[in-house]
Amino acid sequence: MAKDKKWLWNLAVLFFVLLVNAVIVGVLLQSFMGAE
Amino acid sequence: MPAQVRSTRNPKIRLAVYLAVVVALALALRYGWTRAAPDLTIPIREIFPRADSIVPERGLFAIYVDSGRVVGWAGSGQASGYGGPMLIVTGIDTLGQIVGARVVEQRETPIFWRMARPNDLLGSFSGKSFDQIDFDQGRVDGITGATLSSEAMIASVRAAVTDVAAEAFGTDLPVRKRAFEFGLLEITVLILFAVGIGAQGVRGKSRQRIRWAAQLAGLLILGFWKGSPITLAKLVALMSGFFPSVKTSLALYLLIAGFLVTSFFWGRNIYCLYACPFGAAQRLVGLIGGRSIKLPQWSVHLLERMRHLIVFAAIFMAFLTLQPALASYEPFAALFSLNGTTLQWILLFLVLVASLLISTPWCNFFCPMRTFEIALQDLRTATRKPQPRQSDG
Repeated sequence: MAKDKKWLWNLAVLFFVLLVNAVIVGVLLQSFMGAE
Repeated sequence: MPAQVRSTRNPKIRLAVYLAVVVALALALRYGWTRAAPDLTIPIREIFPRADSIVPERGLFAIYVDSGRVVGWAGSGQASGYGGPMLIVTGIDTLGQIVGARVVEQRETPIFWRMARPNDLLGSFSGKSFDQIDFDQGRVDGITGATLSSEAMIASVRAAVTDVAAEAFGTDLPVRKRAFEFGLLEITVLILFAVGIGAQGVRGKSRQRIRWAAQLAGLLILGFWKGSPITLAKLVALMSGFFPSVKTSLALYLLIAGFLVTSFFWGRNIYCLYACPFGAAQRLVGLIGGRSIKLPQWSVHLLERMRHLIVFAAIFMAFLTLQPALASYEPFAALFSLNGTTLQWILLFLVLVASLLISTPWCNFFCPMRTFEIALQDLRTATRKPQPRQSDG
C-alpha cells in the first residue's frame, strides 16, 4: 500500500473497530435496559 | 516506544488489574445475591383476584375469602432455565384444578423467552385437574434455549402442583425421574476434543485437514443442529452459582471442562480451534474472500483492550442484576437459530463480511472466550515454576 494512503487505511480500520464495538455495546445495553 | 506498548505486560500492574477485576465482580455478585426476595403475594393476587387474605401454611399459601372460606392454594416451584433458575407460582382451587400460573423470576434472554411462549404454555395448564395433567405436552423442541426455558417452566409448575397435591389434598403425585441425556451431541463433543488433542501430534496439511473435518462437524452438530456453543451467558451463569442439571446439560459441562482443561493444563485451547461452530463458520466464509488483510498493530491492541473492557462490563452487569443470560452479546443465535434482535443481525453481518477479508475476526477481536483464555494463560504462567530470567537489563 502506498504510504500516502496509509492514513486512509488506518481511518477505515478505526471506523470498523469502533463500529463493531459500538454494535456490541448496543446489544448489551438493549438487553440490560430491557431487563429491569 | 516498545515499553509503552508493553506497559500492561508489567506483572505487577497485571496482578493489580486482576485483583481489581475479581474484587469488583465479587462485590457485584454479592449485591446481586442479597437483593430482596420476590413478593409472592403479588402474582398470587393476580391468579386469585377475589382473595381477601393469603396465608402461608405448610409451605404453601392458602387463599381465603372474607367469610373465612379457603378457595384455593398456591405453591411455588423453581427449575433451571438457560440463564439460571426460574420461579413460578401456581394456583389451584379446592376442586384440584389449576387456576393459573405466573412467572415470578426468570433469567432467560428476551429472545429465548419470546420463543418459549410463556403465556401460551402456562395458559395451557389452566382449568386442568392436577391429577390429569400431561406435563410433557408443552415441550418446545428444536431450539435448545427455548426447550430449556419451556422445560424449566413445566418443571416449576410441576413442583408447585406436586406440593399442593401432597399438602392440601394428601395425594402424592408420581415423581418424574430424569434420565441422563447422552446422545449424539455429547458424543460429538467428546470426539471433537479427542480429535483436537490427537491432532496436536500431527503436522502440516494433515493437521489442517483434521481441523477442517472437526470444525465442520462442530458447525453442523454444535451449531446448526443443537445451537449449543459455549456462550458468555452460560459461563456467567455458572460463575453466578447457577448450575444446570448435569443430566440435561452434560454437553455444556463437557465443553467447558474441555476448554478449561486444555487451555489451563496444556496451554492449548482445543475448544476454540476444533469445536466452536462460529469459528468454523468464519473460516468457511474466509475461504471465499481470501482473508488476506492484516490489521495494523495499534488496532489489535485497541481491540484487545476494548474486548476485555466489554467482557468485564457485561459480567459486572450480569452479576449486579443476577441475570447471566443478558451478558451474552454473541451473534450465535442469529446464525444458528435464525433468532436475534436487529443489532445482533447487524453484528452477525459485520462479522461475516469482515471474515471475508480478515482471518476469523470474531475469535481474534471480539469473542469473550479469548478473554477467559488469556486469564487462564496468565493463571497458568503464575502457577508454574518461574522460568529463569534471561537478563535484568
